[in-house]
Amino acid sequence: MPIMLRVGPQAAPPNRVRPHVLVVDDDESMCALLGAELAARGFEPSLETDPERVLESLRSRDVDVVITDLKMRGMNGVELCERIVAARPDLPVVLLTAHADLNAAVAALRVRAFDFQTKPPDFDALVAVLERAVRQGRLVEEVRALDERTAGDPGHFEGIFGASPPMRELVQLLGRVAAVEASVLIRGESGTGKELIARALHERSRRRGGAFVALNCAAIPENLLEAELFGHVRGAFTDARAERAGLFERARGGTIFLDEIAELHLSLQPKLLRALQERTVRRVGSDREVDVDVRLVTATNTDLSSAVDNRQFRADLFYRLNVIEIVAPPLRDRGRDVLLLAQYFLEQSAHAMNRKVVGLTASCAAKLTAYRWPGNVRELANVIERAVAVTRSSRLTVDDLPDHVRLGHAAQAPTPSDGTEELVPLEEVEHRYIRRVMAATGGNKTLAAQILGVDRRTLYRKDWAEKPLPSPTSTEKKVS
Amino acid sequence: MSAGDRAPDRVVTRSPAATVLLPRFLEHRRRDVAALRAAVECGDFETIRRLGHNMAGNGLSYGFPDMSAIGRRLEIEASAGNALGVSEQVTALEICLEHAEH
Repeated sequence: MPIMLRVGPQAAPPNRVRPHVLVVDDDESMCALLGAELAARGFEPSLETDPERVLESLRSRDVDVVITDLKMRGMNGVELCERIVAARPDLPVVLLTAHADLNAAVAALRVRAFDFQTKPPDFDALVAVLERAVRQGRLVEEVRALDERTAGDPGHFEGIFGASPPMRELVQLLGRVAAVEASVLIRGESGTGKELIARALHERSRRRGGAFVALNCAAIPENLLEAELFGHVRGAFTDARAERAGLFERARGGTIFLDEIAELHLSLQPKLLRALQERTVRRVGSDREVDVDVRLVTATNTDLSSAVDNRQFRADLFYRLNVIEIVAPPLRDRGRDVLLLAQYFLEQSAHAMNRKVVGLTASCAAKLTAYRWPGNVRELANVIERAVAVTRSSRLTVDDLPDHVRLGHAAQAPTPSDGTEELVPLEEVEHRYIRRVMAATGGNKTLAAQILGVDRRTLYRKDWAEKPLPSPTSTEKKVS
Repeated sequence: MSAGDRAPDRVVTRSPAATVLLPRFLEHRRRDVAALRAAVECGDFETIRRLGHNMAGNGLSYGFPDMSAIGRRLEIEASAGNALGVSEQVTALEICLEHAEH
């Protein structure tokens, strides 16, 4: 007569801490023993001696993994596995049999069993398999929940979203800060979305009807930056053929976002301070003051207070900029947001490339959550875009990820050697190495510059990070 | 070697869970003896094969390697349709159970 009994802490309600295992074996002694051994190892087992009743049990129970005997009365384990997989493709099934039989193993694989173990079970090995199965099952569940969430309500906050505690705090802070006019300094590693935060502040402020103007202070040579910010009159310098308004004037009524503010040269710092205090600017080459009405949002990926201590940044300007500080959390501290963002980028890329890619496999999701993401959200976006471009399936797999993500090697400094015996000019070695570092950092120029030991300006000057490798004709110079 | 000459089952380490569940296990195996005898009588080798298979799997789990070996031999004899061989293994199982109960 079939039995259905629970083993383990009867008083404790089912919870997600103790994984729930449904043990199926028509031999009551074996079923009971498996249940008792698994209960002793931290699982919450339910026992079923009638395989015909398993599907019904699964409808009413929150089961994490099924472990079933192979040879049973009525329905064998392979058939049962096939039915479970058809009904609940997210639920892992582990098959157990008395003999290590190749045919049985092949049959188990054919019906997509999660794993195959022999009797008597090696409980250490079995527990490892079950834990792995539970992890995978829960990841599949999370990915599906993400699919549903992103399909229904993207949950964006002006382009910023995330369910992790640091992001929830950030979103709350943005809501409070957006309404005030004070200057904001956004601190965070490269790729954490500092410009996105600045845009969100603008969009939520009373200035949203005005322009949002962004400028990277590291990307523009010092001698041109002043004219870019404040404008210039005709003839102010060699190429100033016509009078031109600067960003402060063009953003009137809006917001100026200055990224990498730590790169602002000392000679320009008092001019920026004056513009903020007096709310006027003077075009390069002009004596006339022009009123400006902008909110300034700045960002840095360095410790600006240390730059103040080292006299590389003016203290008065620092305090003027840092009225409100917002910290953009690195992706590695954002937990499962990685999957939420991955799904978002996946949908964006799939739409842009017109590819039918709808989600991630559980193993791919596991790799994404395990990786450290030194290049943060930008690196994730690049990785997903590439994966969507190369994948051959409707869900991204581990094979679609670049090696450094798949192997979990976060931004290890590569060696200059490209593994060939080819002898090339030093210039080309430099070019190749920069490209390798850029690839390893997911296109993060700041991180690449740190690894290369140069400042970002040098990297911009080299402009090799984005240039293609020299054509084969350049090998004419090679020495062999 | 006849079934009656068989050496008693070796003592192996048994987990605390298996020790707790042992009386019930032995009761089920005694029930198997009766079921096996009935199956031999009516030539139901499929039932014998299934019971032997289960015994092969669970005998060792409860610390009875010889019972597992008997289970495997039952499977083989049942697959060959050898009623005499099955009977011999059932007797061996009875002896094994007597030793286990002591």
